Formats: sequence, structure tokens, C-alpha cells
Amino acid sequence: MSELGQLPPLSRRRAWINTLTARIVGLGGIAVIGAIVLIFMYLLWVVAPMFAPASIKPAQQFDLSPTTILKTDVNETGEVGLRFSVAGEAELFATDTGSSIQRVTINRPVSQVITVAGDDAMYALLGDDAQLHLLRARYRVSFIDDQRRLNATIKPAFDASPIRLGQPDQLAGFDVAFADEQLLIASLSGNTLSLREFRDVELEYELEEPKVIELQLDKPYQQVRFGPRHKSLYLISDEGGLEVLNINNLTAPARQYVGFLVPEGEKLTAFVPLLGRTSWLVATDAGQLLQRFLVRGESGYDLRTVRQFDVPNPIVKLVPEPRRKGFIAVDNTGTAHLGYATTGNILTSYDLNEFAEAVMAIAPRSDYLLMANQSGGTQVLAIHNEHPEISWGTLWSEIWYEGYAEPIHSWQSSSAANDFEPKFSLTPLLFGTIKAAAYALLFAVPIAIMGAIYTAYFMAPSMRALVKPGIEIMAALPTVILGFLAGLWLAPIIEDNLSAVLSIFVTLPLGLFVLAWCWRLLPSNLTRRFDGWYGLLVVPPILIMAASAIVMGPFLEDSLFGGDSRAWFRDYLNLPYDQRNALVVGIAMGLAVIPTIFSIAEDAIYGVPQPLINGSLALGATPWQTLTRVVLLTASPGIFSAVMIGMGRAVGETMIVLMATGNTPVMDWNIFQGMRTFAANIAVELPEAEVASSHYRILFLAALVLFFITFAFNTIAELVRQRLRARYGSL
Amino acid sequence: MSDKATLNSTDSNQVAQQGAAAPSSLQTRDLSLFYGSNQALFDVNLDIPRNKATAFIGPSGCGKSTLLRCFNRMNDLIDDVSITGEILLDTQNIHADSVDVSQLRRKVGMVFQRPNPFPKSIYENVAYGMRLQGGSSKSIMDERVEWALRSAALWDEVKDRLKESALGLSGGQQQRLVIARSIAIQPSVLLLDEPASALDPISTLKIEELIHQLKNDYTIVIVTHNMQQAARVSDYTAFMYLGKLVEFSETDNVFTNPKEKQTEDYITGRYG
Repeated sequence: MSELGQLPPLSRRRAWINTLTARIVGLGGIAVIGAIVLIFMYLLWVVAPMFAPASIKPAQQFDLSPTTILKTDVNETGEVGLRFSVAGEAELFATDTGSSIQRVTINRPVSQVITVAGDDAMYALLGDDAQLHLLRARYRVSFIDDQRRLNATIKPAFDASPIRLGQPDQLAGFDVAFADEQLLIASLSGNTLSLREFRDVELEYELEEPKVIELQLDKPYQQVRFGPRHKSLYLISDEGGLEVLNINNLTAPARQYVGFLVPEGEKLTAFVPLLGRTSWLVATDAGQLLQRFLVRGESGYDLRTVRQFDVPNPIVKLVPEPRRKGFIAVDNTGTAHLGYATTGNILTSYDLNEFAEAVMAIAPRSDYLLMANQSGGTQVLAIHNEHPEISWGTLWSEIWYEGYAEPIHSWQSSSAANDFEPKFSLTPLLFGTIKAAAYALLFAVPIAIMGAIYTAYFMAPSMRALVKPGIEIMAALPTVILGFLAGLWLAPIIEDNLSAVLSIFVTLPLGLFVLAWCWRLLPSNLTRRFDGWYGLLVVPPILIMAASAIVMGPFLEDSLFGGDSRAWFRDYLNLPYDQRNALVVGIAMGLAVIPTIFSIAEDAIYGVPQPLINGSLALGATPWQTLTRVVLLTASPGIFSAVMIGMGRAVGETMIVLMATGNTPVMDWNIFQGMRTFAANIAVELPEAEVASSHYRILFLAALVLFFITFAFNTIAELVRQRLRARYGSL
Repeated sequence: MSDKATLNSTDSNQVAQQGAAAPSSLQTRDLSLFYGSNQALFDVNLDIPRNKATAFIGPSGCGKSTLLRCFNRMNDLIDDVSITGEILLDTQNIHADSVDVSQLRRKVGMVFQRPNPFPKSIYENVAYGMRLQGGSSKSIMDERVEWALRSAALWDEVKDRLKESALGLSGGQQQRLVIARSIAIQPSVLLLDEPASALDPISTLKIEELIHQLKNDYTIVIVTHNMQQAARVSDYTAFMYLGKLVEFSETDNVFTNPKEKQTEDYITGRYG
């Protein structure tokens, strides 16, 4: 110690440089880990709200004048409430204070009030004289002195004159639909169904005379509802009987289905169509709450129970969400259950207490529930339920979506229609990602590994010095160019020369075997001169074989596939052909990953110590035996890494799959079909996803899943590589 | 490979001996070797006697390792090497067209300077040469592995861990394993290229003892830098200098009564 103390200290300059270097290197390492953690945290931060539980909390409560309420509603922003009384009065009021904004009356007692299908601010009031009054609420926002003002008014939708629907004592149910300048009114009187069609309708203008179609029914129904896009009619009796008419051709309605809305032996306690009116939410006296819709079977349509909701008590009232497939179901103990159709989940429950009997409406954004009592008591509940359509099941399992004959995996995030049920299954995307990577590796791994073996072990050093950097430069080729070439140049060529392209995969390897066999027959003192240069020697035969395959293509097409190989594959092997398919992607993405796999594998094989090779040769092994028994074994950790890193690249690759797969989220291993991968899906859809919507968050979830997949691949690869290295690592 | 003649090691057909008293196993006739235009061996004529240990000594770069590598044609692996003259193994020219180089190497085993066990188990290392030929049953294989390991004086140390990786052995054990691996295929000649130069003194001693035992059954050719080692293990010694064979005689003669001045200078440490 004392002697060490006597040594001169490290010069201050050296010490300073030492410390600085250590700090910079340390900082760099921590920054890399920090960046990855930050990316992960950001993804998690965007994704997490999707799985936040729903909640219902009281927001406001106030008293309005006591009257018998038939219907309530809330405006888009949740600021204005609306209630319709039996006396024929419509009242707009502020939902924060309860102060009245506007009252309008039709001066007639009213028996029913409904929201018009197709316009959720238009209301149809049926007077006790069987006259129909159409009112429409308008909410206009203006800024006066930078102060936001909401101006709410309600007035007749067209002219003030009502529409007569029939005799007051006979009229049972009615429904009104308004879309595309067409106003449709359906009404039931006894066994007669009346349809009135007003054409060229414009808001605030007088209605012209309608076209009236009357239809005699086999039996009386009490309720009528328009179906999806007003192309069908549901007729419902108090006993739960259901008849569906197709009114695509208004003058000749066709019967689509006759049956029961409820399962046999049970009685209807509440029912409501969900958004889009494809499916019905049906509550029965047996305590069941079901989602049912028409499914087209072999013998026509059938009403199927698609989902069953888990509710503790029989449901007496159902309130649908106006813009989603959610609902609130009130049971006979006065508890409200917030549910969502696609997931089949009841998200939360809330005890309504004195508002159990109230008239209710959910705000358009599904963030408020307005309840109005006959005593004038009014309560607003704040609902926090941002992403009800997401559950583990919808993301990964088969889901029975509206209009489908069976549960499926599907990704269809958006549609032109507002009443569309989004399909957010990540399974097809995961499948597509794996399929694209699998076909790419199927193409790339044999070529890259065999190329690496040849280059590292057999090739003449002077040729290797050209070949290795040449292939590595291929990795610098932008994948967007590969994708572009694959999608727009290669895909049509393969489509037109399918049998030729397929035959190359067979004739090329076989041809090379034949060539090698012929080569052996040549005298050895001639062939020995080309040792290490065979790689160059086979280039012309490969080109000749490929060219002759293209030339032979039409002949093959005629003789093997009857003139149309695509039709042949579709008809005989049930493999329909898409122009942009897994074959194209396999080749293009294979080309993109070949340099990666080749380079790493070549390094690994080339790095096998010469003494090991000599040791094997000295024991009488042939070069081939040495290769298979010693070289590949010793290089196996590196070769394995090469494949895994290639797979990581293939899984995360975006541009090629984006441009050459067709982006169809199908789940089919067929090599002639496309696919949609996580990476391509994110690239395609993120720009058009509304920020903070479920769609947006799911795309981030897809990114997170992709992150985990590559993370898992790399971790497994590294673990296996280390184990292999410990076992087969060289000296 | 089957159509090519295998070398045979029967004792019939021996040619007349030149210089050495014992029947020779390997003979070179005017052997010259060129790396490109660089000549590394000059007209070497040498008869290596059967079942004796022959040591090649000489300063670095004298060509002794190159000569050794000629005997199992390991020089074929080096680009741009050309050879003139003949090398006879039991009277057969090893460069003849009918000779398959891998069969030659089966007959002429080689142990390198640094131990080079394969990244396999101890058992598989020893069985490697037999597996290359194929066709041996498990019991024969087990028997031969044990025999080879016993011959290499390694059996007692590794018999309980034959399935473990050979890379876990010490350097000296690894080198003995490599010798066991070489003799497992029962070659007639064993070439040792400075087999103990990377080992500690105790391991070196064990290797030398092993050579002593092995030379009863094999023709051993050992290249060494260490003259004491050459004196201890070999029956015959060849001194080489600048690619030429300077002197070849019984070891005692070379060390006690060298005929050439160069030999004497080297042995007495004037250069090297």
C-alpha cells in the first residue's frame, strides 16, 4: 500500500479523460434503455384508458314542473335537456340548473312520442286524434365577445300542419324514418299496415301529398319499427310475435321472417333495437337479456340469440345508446346496468333509487343519462364509458358481429355508415404478420443460409471479397423501392406467368443437381481449376433455366393447368388467386431479409476456427462431413441469431407488406392470398383514426403487441443463442 | 469413394531400407515444396522408421512443420502450394490419383499445436472419426472409445463425464483427448505438431509419457522446438535448416555426436 502510494498519481489530464469517457459511454447506454422505456411507456399511456372501467356518477339534480312525461332527450353536448309531456308540450331546459329555455305546445294531448329513425333530433308526437306532429330541435353554437352561446330551439320540422294516420281508436303503433329527402311513416290499425312515403322532402318546407300503401296482415301487431336503412319493417305483437317485411320495393313488401322475438315460453318485458336496427335487445320475464338478430340460413332467415347478458334480475326497461351499440337496462329492483352489445359485457351497475320509474335518455355521446320523473324531479348522471367495444374477447376471440352467420375473427375498423359495428380483432393482423414473415423466411432462409455456407466455406477468397459486400449493400436498398417493385412490377408479372414462376421453384434446384452431377463426370484436373469459382460458373445456367421456364410457361399452362393456372388452383385446390399475395410478399420481403441473414450467418460460419476444421479433416473427414458435423454445429449460435434477426425484420417490415400484400385482413394460409400485418395496418389507419378514439388506441395497442413480439423474438433468440454458444461455442 | 483404392498397411511388399535400421513407414523422395514461387522444402529424402518416434527439430521457419503436413496432405488446404518429388506411405505414393485424401488422413493421424476438441461431448469427440466411416454398432463404438481414452491415459479422469462437453477439460486433458480422438480410428502413423508447446510442464510430461507408450503401436513423427523433449521421446531425430534436411540419425547420435556443424551449432544453442 505504501509503495503504491508513492507511485506518482495519474496525470490530471488522463484522469479527466478517463472519467469523461466513462460518463459518456454510461450516459449513452442509459439513454438507449431510457428511450426504449419511454416508447414503451408512451404506448402504454395511450393504450391504458381502453381498459379503464366504466363508471356512473350523479351530476345534477333539480325539479321541473310536475307533469306526465312521455319522452326525454339530451343534446349532443349534454347541455340542453328536452322533455315531452302528455299535454303536448315540449320543453327545452338547461341540464346544469334546470332553467327552462323554450316551451312549445301542439295544443293537443299526446299518446306517444318517438325519435325519428335517421335524424336523432327529430321527434314524432302522436296526438290523441291520430294526427302526427313532427318537431325538430336545433342547437346552434355562436360566439359573442368570445363567449360561447348555445342557442336551443324546437319547432315543427316541416310545416306546422299534422299528418293524419287513421282512426284514433284503431291506431296501434307507428314509426317514422327520415333520410335522403324521403320521409317514411308506417302505422298499424288492426290488421292493416299503412306506409306513407313523402318524396323530395326538405326541412322547414311544406310536405307534399304522400304515396300511401296499405297492406293486410294475417294477424294484428301492436308495434312497428323500421329496420336497417329503412329497407325492412319489424312488426311486433304484445305476446312477442315478430314479422319482418322487406320493403326495399315499397309497393310490394315481401315477408322475410315470421316468428317470435322472445324464446319460446317466455314473455317480453322490454325490447329495443340497437343502433342500426339490425339487432334487438330483448328482455324476458324469465330474467334473460338477449341480443338477437336475423341470420340468413339455408332455409331463409332465422332470428338467432347471439348473445346473452349477465343480469341478476329481470329487466323492465331498456334505453339504447343513440350512436353506439350500448344500452342501459333497468331491472325490477331499480338498478341500471350499463352494457355493450359487441362485447356482451355488463360494464357497471348503478342504483337509481327514486328514478327507477323515470323516463330516460342517453346523450348522443353516451356521456350523460337524463332521467325525468312524473313529479318533475330530474337527474343527470355522468357516464364515463369511453371504450366499451374493447375487451380481451373482441381483440382476440371470435365475435358474432351483426349480420354475420357465425362468430368470426375480423378487422374492419371503419365504414361509410354511421350505424356500423366496428370489428377490432387483432387476430387477423397477428395472423397476417406471421404469414408474411413465414413466407418471407421460407424464401429467404434457405437461400441466405446456403449462400452463407457456400461463401464462407467453399468460395475462393478473391470472389468472396466481392460477393459479401455486394450482398450486404443489398440491405441498404430502401424497402419502399422493393415494395413498389413488388406491388406494381413483380405482382402483375407473376400473375401473368404463374406456372412459369412456380416451375422455376422446381426446375432450378433440380437443374442445378443435374448440372452438378454432369460436372462430376468431367475430368478432375479440368474441374479442379474452377475450385471456389463454381458460384460464378452457375450464373449463366441459372439465367438460362429461368428464361427457359418463362418460355415454357405458356406450354406448361396449357398442358398442366388447362390453359389457366389461376382458375385451376381455384377450382381444384380451392386456392383462389389475388394479384398481391403471399408469394409476391415472400419474394420481395425475402429479398429484403436475405442480406441480413446472409451477412450474420456468413460471419458465423467464416468465424469457425480453422484448427477445428483442420482437426476434422485430419481425422479423415471429407470437406462436406466437416461442414455438416463441425462447422455448422460450431456456427449454429450465429446462424440461429441470423434467422431470428431476419424474422424480427420480417415481422416489423412495413413498406413492402403495405404495398404488396393488398392489405386484406383475411386469415388463410393460401399462398395466393394477401394478408394485412400489424405494421402495415398501423401505417394505413393511424393517419385517419380520430385521436383518443377506440380505433386510435387499438392501433397503439397493435404497436404495443408488435413491440412485444419483436421484444420476445429478440429475447428468445438471445437466450437460445447464449445457450447454444455455451454448448457449441468455439475455443 | 468406394471405387478408390484404400491404402493398405500390411507388412509385405517392403522396399529396401535406406540408412535407418528399422523398416520404414514413410519415405520421401526428392521432396520439394513451393508456396507460390517461394521454395520451402528442398529435395528432402527421408525414411521414417515404423513404430518408432521420430523428432523433427530445427529453428523456426526451417520447414519442419511444412514437412510434417506433407505426410497427411494438409498442405492441400493452402492455396498455391505445389509439391515435386514423392512421398510414400508403406510404398504407396500418397499423391497418386487412386488415393483419396480423406482415406490417407485416416491412416496418417495428426495432432496440432493447440488442442482443438470439437464443441461436442468427450465421447462424441473420440467417436467422431468412427462416425465418419459409419457402420459401427454402439457396443463397438463404446469399446473403442474406452480403448482410445485408456491408450491416451485419459480414461480414469473422464470416465464419469463422457457426456459432458470436451471444452470443460483442461488444456493438457484436451490435448490427450485429441490424441485419443486420433488413435481411435487406428491410424498407422501419428503426426504430432509441437503437441506440448501450449501446455504446462506437468501436462507436457504426461504427453511425453504417452508418446513413449504409443510408439510401440504407431509410427510417431513429432515436431518440436524443445530439444530436451526431442531427446527424451524420440528414437530418431531429423535436424532441418532453411528447408533442407541437414542430418537424420538415431537421436543419441544426433545429440551426442552430430555429424554436421550446423546441427552441432543448433544443439549447443548458437542459434535457434
